[in-house]
Amino acid sequence: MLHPDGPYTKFSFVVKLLHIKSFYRISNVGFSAFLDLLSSVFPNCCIPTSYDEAKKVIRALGLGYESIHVCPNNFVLFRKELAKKDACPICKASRWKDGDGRRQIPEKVLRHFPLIPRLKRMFGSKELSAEAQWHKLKRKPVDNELSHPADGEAWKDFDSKYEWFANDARNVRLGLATDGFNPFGKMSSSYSMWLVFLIPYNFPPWQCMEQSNFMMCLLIPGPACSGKDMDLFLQPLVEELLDLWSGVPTFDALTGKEFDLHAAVIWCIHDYPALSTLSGRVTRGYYACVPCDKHPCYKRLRNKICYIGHRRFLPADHIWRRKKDFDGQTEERAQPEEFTHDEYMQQLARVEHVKPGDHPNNKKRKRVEEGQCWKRRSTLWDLPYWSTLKLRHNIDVMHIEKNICEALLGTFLDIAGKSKDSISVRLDLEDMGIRKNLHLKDDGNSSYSVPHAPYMMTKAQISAFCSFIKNVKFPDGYASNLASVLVLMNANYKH
Amino acid sequence: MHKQIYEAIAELGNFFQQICAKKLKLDVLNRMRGEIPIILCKLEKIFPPAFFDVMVHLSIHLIDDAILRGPVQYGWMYPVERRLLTL
Repeated sequence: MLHPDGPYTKFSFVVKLLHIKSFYRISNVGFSAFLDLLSSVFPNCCIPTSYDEAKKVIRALGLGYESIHVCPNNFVLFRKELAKKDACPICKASRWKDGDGRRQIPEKVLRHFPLIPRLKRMFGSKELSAEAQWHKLKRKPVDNELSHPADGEAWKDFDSKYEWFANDARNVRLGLATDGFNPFGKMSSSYSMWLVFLIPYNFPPWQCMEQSNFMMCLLIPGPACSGKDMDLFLQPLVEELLDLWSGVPTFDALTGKEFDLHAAVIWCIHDYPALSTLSGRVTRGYYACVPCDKHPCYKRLRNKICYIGHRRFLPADHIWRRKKDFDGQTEERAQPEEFTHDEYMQQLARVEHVKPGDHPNNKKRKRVEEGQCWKRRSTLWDLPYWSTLKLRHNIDVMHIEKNICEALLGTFLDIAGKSKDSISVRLDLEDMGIRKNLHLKDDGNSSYSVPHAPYMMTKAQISAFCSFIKNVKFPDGYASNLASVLVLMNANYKH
Repeated sequence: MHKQIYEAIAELGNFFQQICAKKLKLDVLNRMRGEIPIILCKLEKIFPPAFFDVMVHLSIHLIDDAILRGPVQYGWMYPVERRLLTL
């Protein structure tokens, strides 16, 4: 007890204080001074006298993290046998910021929040342990309806391949989510850190995607995270996941007995560029589409690549396949195919030599073979079950929806820089010999005019659209201030 | 606005609204699997080829993903981005 009459224990008092400290961003020194004053005024209460002491109180919770120093060029992590080394064995760069290493300020630090103790703690509580078994014991599946990942094909497929895993409802299925963020807010856009979360899917739908259930695992330092270095940073996590796959003895509060806890990552969540960072699959260029591995539907234009030819997904006898007004040709090809398991392995074997780390003065670019869709073999392939998963990487619906909407609006309103329509686009149409009414018109005197396209709004339509948007009312917190955006847009249309 | 353009866009909007539903029905998904190529073909007739970046193309694969994974809210970025306070 902090005080014989008060409701607070020492622990809850310290937790609240530390929360206030981080919420209002009080400096460490200021916080210590404040505690020092408090403890001298109330000597009978056991108030910690400094920030360090306050941290010691909550350390026993096991919410701590491990700092792992990283080679400045991302070649190695200074852990295990390298823990005592002062310089990277590959690039010879010093690990310390100050040359002689006397003060030992590290150049780059990866923060690793161990996963196993967190999962163990989950089963230390009766309530959480019961909730973690919801997906198997309490869930009532409805035919023809998907309401939880357990209804999905990928989950069922995993269950049938690893029955021993599925038999114990306590085994945890995790989703790996990652995203870059900017720790300095809008102050600097050149520095971004990467976070890796794990999301347990065992919980019922109302708890599953709750933010408080996210487990932060890695905090990857900036200034930039280039693709193949991600593997290096994932190493500690993958080692833990390997342990968790073979089983970790855990105490279950519900039964009061110890059992072997297993956990598996069933898929990853990220935006589309991060897919290539995490997995090593190319997401730009000709082979940008991840599920279309063989014969993707790309087409080279004058200054970019577009992905048309969606007639290939229509039935073979569809009337549109014989029309010539799509791209000037008929379409007979079938849908693009995915790689088989063996083809995956071949692709990955070809890039096995790619290792994380890069010298700053190594600027050579390598030519990639035709048909090679993978740039490297991600460490995630080291997980024994990874190659059997049906859905490894989610395609993010949110970003697709947002980007299509932006492209549509930009083209309709003809916003400079956002519109997909331009002079070279009209020239592309000429190259393909379609939609003659949109081609550039020769006005004589070697000047050309761009004809108005049906997908562009007239000025009257734009102002009608703007005034409509202005009057739409959303529930509080659902949309940003659209009126202020419109003011900006109107400024563009004044001319 | 032309009726043809209006229809294609409304169908695309409807598609996204249905796929983001809290509970998905398998038969509805299978029906939508047939619909999305038609919607995209309609768009191909309206917009120039440069409009079709990879994002537009990916919408054709969303149905397969949804059948494998289950509802969309278990595999999208909204909770993650909100956690990072970028949204």
